[in-house]
Amino acid sequence: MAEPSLRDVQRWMKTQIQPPAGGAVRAAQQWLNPQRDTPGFERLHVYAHGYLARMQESLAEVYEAVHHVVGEQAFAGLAGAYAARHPSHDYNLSFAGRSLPEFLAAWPRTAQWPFLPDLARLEWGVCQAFHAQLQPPVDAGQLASVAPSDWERMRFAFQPSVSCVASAWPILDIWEARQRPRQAIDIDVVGRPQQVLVFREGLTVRCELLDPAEQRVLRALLDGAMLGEACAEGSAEALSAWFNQWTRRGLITALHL
Amino acid sequence: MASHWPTIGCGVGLRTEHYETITRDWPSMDWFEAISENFMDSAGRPLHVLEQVRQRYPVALHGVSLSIGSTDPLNPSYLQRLKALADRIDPAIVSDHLCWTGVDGQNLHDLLPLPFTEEAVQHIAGRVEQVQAFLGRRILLENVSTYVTYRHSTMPEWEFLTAIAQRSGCGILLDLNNIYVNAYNHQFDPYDYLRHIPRELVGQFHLAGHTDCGGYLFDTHSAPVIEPVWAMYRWALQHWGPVTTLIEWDESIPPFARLVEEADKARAIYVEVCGTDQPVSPPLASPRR
Ligand SMILES: [Fe+2]
Repeated sequence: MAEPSLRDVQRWMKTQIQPPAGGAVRAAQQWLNPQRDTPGFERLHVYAHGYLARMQESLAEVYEAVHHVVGEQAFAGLAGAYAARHPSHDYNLSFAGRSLPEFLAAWPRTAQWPFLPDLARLEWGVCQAFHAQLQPPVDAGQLASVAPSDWERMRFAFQPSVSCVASAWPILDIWEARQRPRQAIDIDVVGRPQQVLVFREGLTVRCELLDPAEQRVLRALLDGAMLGEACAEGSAEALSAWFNQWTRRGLITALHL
Repeated sequence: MASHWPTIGCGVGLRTEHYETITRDWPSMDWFEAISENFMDSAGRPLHVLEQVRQRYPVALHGVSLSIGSTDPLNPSYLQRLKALADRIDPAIVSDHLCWTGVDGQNLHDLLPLPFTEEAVQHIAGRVEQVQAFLGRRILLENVSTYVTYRHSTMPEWEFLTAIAQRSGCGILLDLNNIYVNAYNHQFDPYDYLRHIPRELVGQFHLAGHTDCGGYLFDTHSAPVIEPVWAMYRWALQHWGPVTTLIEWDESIPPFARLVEEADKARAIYVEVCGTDQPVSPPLASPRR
């Protein structure tokens, strides 16, 4: 039998670790020495199992509230299914869970907890905010110096820590309950939509409720809309109150005309 | 023979669980080892803590994602981020593992075993040279715990490790627990391994605990160092003189005070065997302020 190249070995090992791992490649099985009384390829389970365990642990760290809601057993199933569907392309394991919100939207058990995809979006936002590199914010004076005739076509850049999630469910309440015992949690989830702003203040990540109109304007601006497009609704007073709030918190980093 | 590598004493890993204790008490500790990936992609609290720690202690950066043994190209954005972190932190040591972590652009997030072949030695030595040129510094590569070995390996693990270090100019981070684990798993004498490592290549030791899984030992870093590994540590210091030492404890992480006890135990052996009460070499003896 010809010696396998390093690349052959690595490609084969990947098929034995990345779920759904396995598949009988009899020739390749001969590439490993027996370990004491055990055929070498059987020991590969240590790596296959390790991959799943690490993925699950990393997802549980980022998606603490999702984990808390679904419980240990369902979360293990979720992590396994996710790992099989989304091979990691990040060297940093902390970022391997970036697609969990979309994955949850199609996960059968989400029917039982329909708020899961939004909750996961909120948690991914929290994770991004935690790691973000904060930029120097613009000050209120800079904003005030823009000629009123230019306001309509102004665009804004926000801190990379800023995100907002609009949900038909009370996701902030659910997120805030993530460290309470499950039996002590009693949240009415029906008919209680919440819009949540995520940002970082110094080293602390904050999640706060937004007014629905403020959320729509902020969402549009975060997506790069001009102020004129974003503010089709909302009174001038409301708008100036929102901007005051955003600039006081240092959320806006640049104005573009 | 004197080591080319700084001796900064006996340290412990910098772990999230201990941030509060460390930044409140600034405990007496020779140095800290930080996992590079936990800081190179983050500009929040972790980096802030690391910078504060660095103002008071020597720090080593220990990576898990270099994937020096992969047949994929080296990841330039990873290297840039690592270099940026190293330039910012000014670590005493930069290290990673002699393993591969993924292939075809997919990451398996594990320290995977390599066949010990001339092909792998050449491939890896060339890549280490590239990494060292890019970072502008020598690195250490660590021997990893493994659970399988390849039939087509043509040399023992110690020869593979040594050949790569000698050809590339990198040093060795010798994990004594990993040697013990592999010696059990693959049935060789751990002292055979130690006897074949040239002293001048060794820049650091790792000491850790493992788990007996029945039939094989698993490198969990979840327990105290066991007596036979302390005995290997003693042997290595007797034969090689002072080498920077780290206690690794990454699972079931105990209170910081327990880690300090374990580092104190290492330091007591170090001081006794090396006949010095100064485990830290002079240039790094006083913490930077
Ligand atoms: Fe180690």
